Amino acid sequence: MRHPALGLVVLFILVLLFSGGTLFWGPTDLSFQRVWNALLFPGSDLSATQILWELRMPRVFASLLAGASLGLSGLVLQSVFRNPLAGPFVLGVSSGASLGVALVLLAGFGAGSLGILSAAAMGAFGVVFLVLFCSKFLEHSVSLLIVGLMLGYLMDALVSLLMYFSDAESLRGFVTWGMGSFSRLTLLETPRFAGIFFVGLALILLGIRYLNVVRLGDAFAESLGIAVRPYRLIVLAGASLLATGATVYCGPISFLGLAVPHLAYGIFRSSNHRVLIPACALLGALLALLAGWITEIPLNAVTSLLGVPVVLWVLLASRHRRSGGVRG
Amino acid sequence: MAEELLTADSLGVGFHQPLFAPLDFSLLAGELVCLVGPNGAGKSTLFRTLAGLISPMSGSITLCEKSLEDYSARERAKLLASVFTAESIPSGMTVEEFVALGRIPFTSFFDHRTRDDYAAVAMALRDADAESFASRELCALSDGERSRVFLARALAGHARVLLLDEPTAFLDVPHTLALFRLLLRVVKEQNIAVFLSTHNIDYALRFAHRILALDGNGNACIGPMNEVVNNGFLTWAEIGINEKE
Repeated sequence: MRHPALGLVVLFILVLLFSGGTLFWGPTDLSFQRVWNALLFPGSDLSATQILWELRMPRVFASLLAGASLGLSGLVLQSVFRNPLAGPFVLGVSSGASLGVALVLLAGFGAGSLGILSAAAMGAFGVVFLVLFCSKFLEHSVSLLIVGLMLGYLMDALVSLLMYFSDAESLRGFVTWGMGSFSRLTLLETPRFAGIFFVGLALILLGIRYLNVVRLGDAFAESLGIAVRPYRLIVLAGASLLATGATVYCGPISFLGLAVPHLAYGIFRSSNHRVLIPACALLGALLALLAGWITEIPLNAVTSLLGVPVVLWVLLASRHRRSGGVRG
Repeated sequence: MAEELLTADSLGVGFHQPLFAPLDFSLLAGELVCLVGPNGAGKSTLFRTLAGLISPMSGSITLCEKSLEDYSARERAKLLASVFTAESIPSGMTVEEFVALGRIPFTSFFDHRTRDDYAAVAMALRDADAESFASRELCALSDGERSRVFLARALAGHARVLLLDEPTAFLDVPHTLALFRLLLRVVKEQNIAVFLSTHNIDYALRFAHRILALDGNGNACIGPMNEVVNNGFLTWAEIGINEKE
């Protein structure tokens, strides 16, 4: 794209429009006037206030933060591992969170005192720390990818064991958690989610120079004067933090993190992370808002049903214009 | 006497044991030096050591009158640019974006590019005869075009020493000749030193001001063509031998 700034402004306006749309339209039919009043004078119209501030507003924040988090996380992991199939969960974040939640919901760990949020957070952070700790000893980024995948398989195996030995009711609760949803966040939890997002974003921004050269290999980055290992640790910590935040507050949402970077490459035709980082954050938020409109079916089904045709279309369209649409 | 840009002082390189006898040599400004030797003689290891990616086993390296160890990675990258063998070629990246990566040692924290950076990229593309395909994608180029793009990336950082590991590996005769002529011109115009390894010994003899030859048995010799040939350091290459009869 010739003017990436223009594209980013258009995306930003679209995100604003869709956020507004999510506030004003929903499954409950509320007139524009009533939503507007509830927005400006909360309390004057009790049922409208409740729907706006307890249902729709948190859902907008959840979509924005989770979408942007997953898009950014996917971008960073695809760049660091030089693999177009990498996503936010290749380092075991979602498997760790699943195990944490499974221990609480299926094995009765904590006996009610431990909430799902803290269980997911502890599981996800536990795995991330383990993988990042391993990165201190591993020369090649690909070995790190394998460590992450292996740990993920281990967690998934433990989860399926727990599922096998649990009763139908708690199983249902666990499966529902695994389908993801933007409706779990409360306004009270939103500042914490936003805090996690901005810390993760800041860590990624610290590594822009590293991210821009890493696709040419670690030796090349070193020869350009960039210390590979500390930067790799910083950006992976940022990406894992973002993926963990999204998973803790919205469940393991598949596909978005893998697809958003490909959309960004296709639309902006750039490999500069100064463009790709805002592009992935905005595109992720936009896709999440769109997926959030369909509340009747599970979120994980929506993201894939909606996302696959879009990504395929962008890939095929760019292949038609120029050879080689996929970044590798 | 021309300026000494890179000096090796009884330099030993290798991982567990030295690959060849300690080396003493200097690369001078305005000079094209070729490194020749059979596979496994230690050419790439020498390059990586000179680039500061591997520590020397013994001896020392001086870059622009200061020990290589005393440089920060970034200051070193401003004076010395490398192109390695078999670098991965990223898809979806234009030539211009790729060459701009050579400016990374100069960019600020968030990789902000200034007018100077864009000017340097444009000049590097012109010097390497890569201007005409600057907006094409890297993976859509021929090998000959790609070798010039790699050179442009090294030139974009205005380094004083360029280390090129086998830049002619995939090139046919006309493109090899063109690349060597281009390098000779750049070396003179910008008063820099180019140190390149190649298996095209005939071209090395034809174009290089001096040759550093490794014989693969742990011996090394540096000097003008006659000296290297007369001292028997190219016997392994069996130049001029006819085996048909």
